[in-house]
Amino acid sequence: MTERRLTNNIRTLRFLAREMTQAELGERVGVTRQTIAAIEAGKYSPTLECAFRIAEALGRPLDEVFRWGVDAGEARPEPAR
Amino acid sequence: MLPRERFALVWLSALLLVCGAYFAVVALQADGPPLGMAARIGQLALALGALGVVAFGTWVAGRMRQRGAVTDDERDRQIEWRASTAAYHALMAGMIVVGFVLPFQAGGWDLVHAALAAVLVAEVLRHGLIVMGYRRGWRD
Repeated sequence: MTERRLTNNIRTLRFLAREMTQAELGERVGVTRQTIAAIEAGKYSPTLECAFRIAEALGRPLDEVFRWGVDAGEARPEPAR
Repeated sequence: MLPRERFALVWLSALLLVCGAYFAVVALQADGPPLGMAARIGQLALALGALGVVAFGTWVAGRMRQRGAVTDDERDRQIEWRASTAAYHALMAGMIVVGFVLPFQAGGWDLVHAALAAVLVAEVLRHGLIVMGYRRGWRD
């Protein structure tokens, strides 16, 4: 049985959001740069509130930032208009 | 490396070094002539004193970094909570053995050492889990 896990596109979306750094995103969300790095690397699953804050900071809907499914590599989101 | 991870690593190393040495000396002395109370208390005080020095050093380091320090976020709190919960259960199990089982089988310094060992296991578990939580991550 394939294991499902929480994946995210934060790194790509940060780049598309005018190359926002991990520190800048962390400051907007209220967590440290290291926590953002851990979330991006899949080493930490954020709380629901934190996930919503990240999506809001990136200007994207939640399901575009985070995905629950088989980890088949990072998806390619569309650039922000 | 985050300060919390650094402190956990320092404490883990200190506990394993100091308490490992103490229990090694106690084990080596087991076959020899029994030590007097003053000698035993002196050995224990030496080990606890060494840990006290480490505690003081980490306290000083913590005070020095307080200016501009980053406050704990949800990941720090979650790692701390998980490590402390596991350590609490380990300590509880150890104390149950020390309090309800060992008094019928041993006494005196054997009980003291068993209690110390239970505390040591709990602390090593706590700090080890903190380091692992930061290094390897901890997904639900």
